[in-house]
Amino acid sequence: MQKNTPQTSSDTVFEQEINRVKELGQKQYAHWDNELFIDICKGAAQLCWNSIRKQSNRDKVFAAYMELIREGIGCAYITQSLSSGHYKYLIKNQKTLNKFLGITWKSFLEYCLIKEMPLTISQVPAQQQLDLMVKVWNLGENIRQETPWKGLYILSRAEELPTLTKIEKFLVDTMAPLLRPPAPARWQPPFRVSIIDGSNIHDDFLPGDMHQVAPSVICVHDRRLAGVYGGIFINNEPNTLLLHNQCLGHSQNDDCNIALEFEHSSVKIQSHRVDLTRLGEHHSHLLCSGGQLLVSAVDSQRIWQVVTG
Amino acid sequence: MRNNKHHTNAIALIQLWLHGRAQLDDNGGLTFQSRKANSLPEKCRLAYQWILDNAIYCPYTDIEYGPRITLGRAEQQIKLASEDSYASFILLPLLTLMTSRRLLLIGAPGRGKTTVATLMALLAGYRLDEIKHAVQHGHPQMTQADILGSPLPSDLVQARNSADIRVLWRNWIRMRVKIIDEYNRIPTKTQSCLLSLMAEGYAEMYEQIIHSENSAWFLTANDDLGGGTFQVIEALKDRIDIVVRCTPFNTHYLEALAKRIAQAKQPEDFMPTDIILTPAELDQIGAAIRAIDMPPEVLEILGFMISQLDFCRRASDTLEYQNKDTLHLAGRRVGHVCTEDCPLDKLENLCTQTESGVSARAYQTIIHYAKALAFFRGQTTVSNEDIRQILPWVLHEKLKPNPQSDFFQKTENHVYQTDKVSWIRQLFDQAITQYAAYQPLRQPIIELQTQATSNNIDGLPPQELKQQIQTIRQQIEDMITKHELNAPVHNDIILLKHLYVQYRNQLQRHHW
Repeated sequence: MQKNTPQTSSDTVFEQEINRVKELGQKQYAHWDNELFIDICKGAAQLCWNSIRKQSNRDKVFAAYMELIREGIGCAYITQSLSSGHYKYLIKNQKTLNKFLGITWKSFLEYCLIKEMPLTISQVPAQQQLDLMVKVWNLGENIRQETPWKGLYILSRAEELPTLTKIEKFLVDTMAPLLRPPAPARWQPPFRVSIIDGSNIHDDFLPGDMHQVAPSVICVHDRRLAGVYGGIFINNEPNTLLLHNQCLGHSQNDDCNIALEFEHSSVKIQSHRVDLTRLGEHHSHLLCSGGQLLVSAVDSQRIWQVVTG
Repeated sequence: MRNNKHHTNAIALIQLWLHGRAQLDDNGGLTFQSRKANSLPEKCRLAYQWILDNAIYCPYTDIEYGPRITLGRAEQQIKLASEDSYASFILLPLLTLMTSRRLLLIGAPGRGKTTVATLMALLAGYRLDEIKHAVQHGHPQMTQADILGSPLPSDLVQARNSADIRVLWRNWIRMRVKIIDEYNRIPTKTQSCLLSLMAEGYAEMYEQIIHSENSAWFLTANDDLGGGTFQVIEALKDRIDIVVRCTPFNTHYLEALAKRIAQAKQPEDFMPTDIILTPAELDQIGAAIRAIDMPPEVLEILGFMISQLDFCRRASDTLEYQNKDTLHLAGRRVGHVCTEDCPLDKLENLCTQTESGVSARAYQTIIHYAKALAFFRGQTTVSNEDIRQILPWVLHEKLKPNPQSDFFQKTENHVYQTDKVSWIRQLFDQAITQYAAYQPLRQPIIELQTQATSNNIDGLPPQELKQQIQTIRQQIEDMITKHELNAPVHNDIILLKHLYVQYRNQLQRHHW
């Protein structure tokens, strides 16, 4: 009697697709990482296949997913994988935070392709899966090509993505507050002073040059460490502080013609004295459109934030 | 209202992001449009990195940028680069492909010379089988017909004159990458027909001419001294722009070699398509390299160094003949005259270190490769460091040391007699130090030169011409009485004398 178990033919389809993609990847991309691809096959790809294997369009959907993986590795967008052990844990503990996985995602696209998609694609109606894959890729790749602060911020909020089907709404809700233009600056009292602790960006962070990359986003360069940059998102309460390995964007400072005079542990803003307790000697400062002044000290990880009335 | 506006802005932004490279085709399959191409320098760097990671295992990085980090003690030190660093064995062939110049790979058999050349041809878009058939393997029986082609036999019989004879030219002549394996095994007579192809870009037979397009040449030789089965003709050697030595295989990569055996695959079999350069891209690269800016101060330092190498005070008492060519034409060597009879300090002056000077052709090669290096690194101008890095490879076979120089007798300089790369680099480093010290002296000369360039000498009245002549004479007098006649001073006096002649000739024309 001839054995023709669906499982066997299904495994063949899986293997064939893996081999096809591996061969194409090696032929096309200088960045092709075969070991990474094999790891992904054992983890994400296997999980994806297992979750959709009973669908009538599984071959097309799986092939589409593997195309995303192929292009992702080839373009060096995907640089890491999760193990099958990780996925088993995540299936049981869906709210597990990235920090407990011991992984730092490099981009929102990588997060979606390696974590979200294999875990949740089967929850999407089968006929919508291909369109969703196209959407996720285009959104993810375009975010990568934007100024760095956008990708950084979106990635920091990635764990709030409810499902992939709601990705557009998630992105709108995430970006909208950042795109809110600031209120016109008055540079008049009352002034409110608060402290931003640079060690919350990086343990050894020492604030250096600062510039505004968007109405509500500040980029702070570390004074000593190459490749260390802090992002301060000042529209959020409290401010969101993020670490990045590259500058967050070009300076978009408007020229603020405000008279500033620094003294020991204080500053005069348009002749109004504002105490900056424990500032000492100031190192750098930034006048932001929207009426904020950020000041760093010569010998401190802190940034003094002065918000004008 | 404001809340709605930024929300609307966010929606518009996300709508924009929805349009991208991924799409579904008519069969419902997911496809990608082509990615926006990497910039060409990025693509070249990607090609370099792929070769280093997958094809040629070469841990010897000898082109290094940035201040050195010194480790160890005086008697044994290692210097690490603080910026980017490259292996010359891979980088220089790549620069040769980008500049369509001529490179010689020398080294013991089995070091990867032909492999590197083959990889360059693959990068240029040729198939492996095409390349293998097109490589010209030097051997003692090689004839002109083997290299260039032969006339159609029927034409030979029927032709009434040579113009009627058609020649079946070899296909390799038209290729963008030309590989001559073991060129020193080609008979000397046959080498001559290579010469016009390499030097002039065409070959001739029976009054038929074939032009070879802009192409990069890769020649290989086993013997370091350029000898082999046959002597290589000087003119052919001279046409080689740059020489690269092959590096020994490092045993840390044995596992990779074992893998190749197990998989029965060579790297030439799987060069990825995204690093292959199209002919249009190669043309663009060539044009972009030529457009890289060469700052005047960089050119000056290069000129300052190399002009010293030609100089020989003892060759003649006449200014114009105080160079090494004068010596050589008289059958003498630098070692014969560079003795205590020459008042110049043998440790300070660079002229003592070399037997030969440098030709104008070598200058052009240095400039071209330095531009290519700057382009490769993503820079828009050439720096002194680019010159410093490329000099040893261009001058490696062209600059002959003077082993009798006092410079090489010092214990700490013995190593330069074997390590030519380091020797040439120290020449450049010394030149930079001397250039800085010499600059204050040059100020009046620079002014005179600037005046001569900006004035229209033809339009100057006689009075002004006389004044300039007098100024130049005084300047020459000052230089020759107050300063030692070393190479930099000699070079400036030659310049001043030239300016003097220009002004005087113009004055003469007024009298006519």
